[in-house]
Amino acid sequence: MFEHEGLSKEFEFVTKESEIKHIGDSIKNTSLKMQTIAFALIQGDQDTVGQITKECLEDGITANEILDNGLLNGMSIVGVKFRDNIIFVPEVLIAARAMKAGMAHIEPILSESGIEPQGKVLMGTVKGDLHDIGKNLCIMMLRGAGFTVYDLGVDTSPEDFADGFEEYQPDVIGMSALLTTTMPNMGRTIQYFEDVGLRDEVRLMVGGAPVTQEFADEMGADAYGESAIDAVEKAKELILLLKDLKN
Amino acid sequence: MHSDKKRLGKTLDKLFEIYKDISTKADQVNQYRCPYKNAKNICTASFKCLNQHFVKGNPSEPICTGSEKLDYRPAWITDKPIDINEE
Repeated sequence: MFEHEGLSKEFEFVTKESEIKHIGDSIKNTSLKMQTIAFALIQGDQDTVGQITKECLEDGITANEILDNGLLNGMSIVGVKFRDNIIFVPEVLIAARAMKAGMAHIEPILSESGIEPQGKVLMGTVKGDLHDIGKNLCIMMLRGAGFTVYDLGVDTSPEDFADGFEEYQPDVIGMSALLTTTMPNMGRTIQYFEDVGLRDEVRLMVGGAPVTQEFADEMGADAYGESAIDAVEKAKELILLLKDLKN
Repeated sequence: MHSDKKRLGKTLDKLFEIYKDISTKADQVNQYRCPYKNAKNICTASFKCLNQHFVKGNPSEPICTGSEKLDYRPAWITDKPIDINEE
């Protein structure tokens, strides 16, 4: 069907008529390089996605074309496969990581075109907690919404959050926790920011399965993200508030 | 440059829509299926879980033995990292 055999096989997972037409039309006239990017993204092959994106830009292919014909076509098939239970969250996150590898080369061009990042967000799972999938989904969403995101990983101490703030100067810090036993470490981190005089420098957002708005309020968080989509909305609101404060 | 910006913006909006659908679906699937369990039923968590079954010779890829009819969360021991030498 397509020049790229692997992508043709992946496309067999697309079974809805409207999607066969929409995604198929979008892929069929693209170059082998674009199809290779799409396929590598579906496979979660971040090195290939990053390398070919870079080569294409050096060859004069526009960022628009790489996004539309390569990266987005790949992610469309990932979305279909996930919706139809062919792949699951781990595979999606690996594909999102490959997307990030491509976007790393495209972001400077977005900037040159006048598309600035929405803001900077620093994310981490709090101390004592090794749960990361909720945080990683939030990071995927925030990046998709145009935020620059720095990931401190799991088991992040208040000191690590403060060090991350000093290093990256984010507008918002997002803390995630899965366990009721580690949730209080969100409050401890907020308190630590008070103690070291950084509390007014950054907005602090919390989220995670056991976290509620009430708990977030008790801890003195600036916002609570109920879901990954909500986290994006809250981050946007916090950044708008910050801008208002600065003006 | 302006049209590029407009087209780029549209493309980024499309990407965000795909991510939104993925996120909504993830919220649904996570109700019954452990989000660390991949398509090959391998556990991708970096922490211990009672549902992990380690096969000899492959200590880094435990098989998930969790049922999708039972809540997977009580099996998580998310404050203890996997020790791959411990089989």
